[in-house]
Amino acid sequence: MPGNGGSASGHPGASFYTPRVADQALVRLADVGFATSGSVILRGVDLTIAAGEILGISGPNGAGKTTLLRLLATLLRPTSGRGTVLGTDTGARPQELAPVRRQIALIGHSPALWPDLTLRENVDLPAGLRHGPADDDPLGAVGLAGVARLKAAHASLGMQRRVEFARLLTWTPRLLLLDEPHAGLDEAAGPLVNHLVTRVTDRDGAVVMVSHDRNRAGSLVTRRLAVAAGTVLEAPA
Amino acid sequence: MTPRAFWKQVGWVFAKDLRVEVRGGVTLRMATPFAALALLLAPLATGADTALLRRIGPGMLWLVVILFGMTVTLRSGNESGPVRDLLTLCGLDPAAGFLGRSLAGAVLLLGVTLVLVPLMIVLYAPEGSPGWGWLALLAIAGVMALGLLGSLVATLVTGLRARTSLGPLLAIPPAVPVLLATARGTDSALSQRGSLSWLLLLVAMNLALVIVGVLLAGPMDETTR
Repeated sequence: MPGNGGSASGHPGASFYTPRVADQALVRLADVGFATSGSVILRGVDLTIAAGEILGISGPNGAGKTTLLRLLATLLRPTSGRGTVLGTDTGARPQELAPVRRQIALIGHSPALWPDLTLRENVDLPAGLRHGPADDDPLGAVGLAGVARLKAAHASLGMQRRVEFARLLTWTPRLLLLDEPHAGLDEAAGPLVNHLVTRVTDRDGAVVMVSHDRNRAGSLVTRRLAVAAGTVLEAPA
Repeated sequence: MTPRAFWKQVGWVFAKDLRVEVRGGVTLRMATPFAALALLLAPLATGADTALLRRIGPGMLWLVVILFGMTVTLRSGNESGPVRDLLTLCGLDPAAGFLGRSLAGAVLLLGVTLVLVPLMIVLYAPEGSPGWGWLALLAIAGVMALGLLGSLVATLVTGLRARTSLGPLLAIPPAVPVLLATARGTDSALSQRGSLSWLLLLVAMNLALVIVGVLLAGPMDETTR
């Protein structure tokens, strides 16, 4: 927030963006911006994320948080500045980005499910594409074993979220990007989110979590940033 | 990516699209019954003029397959943004996605055609015995071209707000040669004449659509996010 650390704009390598947990940078963005249809969504983002870090991001609606996550996922390309994600330039050709993308998981605020397929199929299908079917029962681990044959379209938002978490139990991403992971979830699901996050950081990965719910996300986060009007700012811990 | 991994992805998309289609039931519940009704109603509108019906039968068949088939094949690009993101992060090659969707669309259209061909023969050309071999080859080449075309146009209009109306407008003009080749070829097959030239035209169109689709799939996937 302004006054709580200063703007990141125009300060590549500013000290408050130096990783505090480990020195192996998984993400480096230098003066990165993103604009679309003539409007600037993000500007001057300088950001380094190290292995083991759990970054909490907050900010008002429309500030650019989701765009930042999609840039980190390499699903969007910066329109200005430069960056690397998992060692590969964000402007690289799709063929070069493909191996990087396979190490990234993004859980957005809208669940990525096929509504006509069952919850089990929604777990098994992406697993089949990524690495082959899961050996264990990830749906059981997220409390959905009894409704595995339910169509995703008929599941509640909380159940759909759990399906996405179940997918994360079939592999471990290097970079986990979560957009409002607690949205629609009951209190009992909190430990599940914590488990997924620590699974990633325990294996030298990093997690970026957009959340308005500081109480639920707060205990895990090792560093906080705020996004305001397209700029990324240091936020108080 | 190795060729084996690429074709495995093609198979994955093909199986996934068929499964989604079977569960959603758009082809079975909507396209096929309406296409059959359209084929049934046309003779009622024209009257019992058997010579006229014999002439328009093959054209009516493929016109109905193309128009109702578009509702099936253009649907292939309608996956939500989060699902597209998921597939990209799972490492799906856009060209494999294009080919898998095209194959699934072609199989669904072949199902529609298998229902409509006997109906057309009974209603429009009841006399004589058609060349079933030629009909089968034409149907396979025709639905494959329509599957490729639908998948290509769906890729082009992905992410556009006007994709629902723009898709058919973009797909119909290049579908005209497919309509000509399948309709004329079917007419020849019904008369026990060979349809080789029409079949070769369809094969050439299939090859061209595969090349264009595979080349465009990657760039289009990146630019429509």
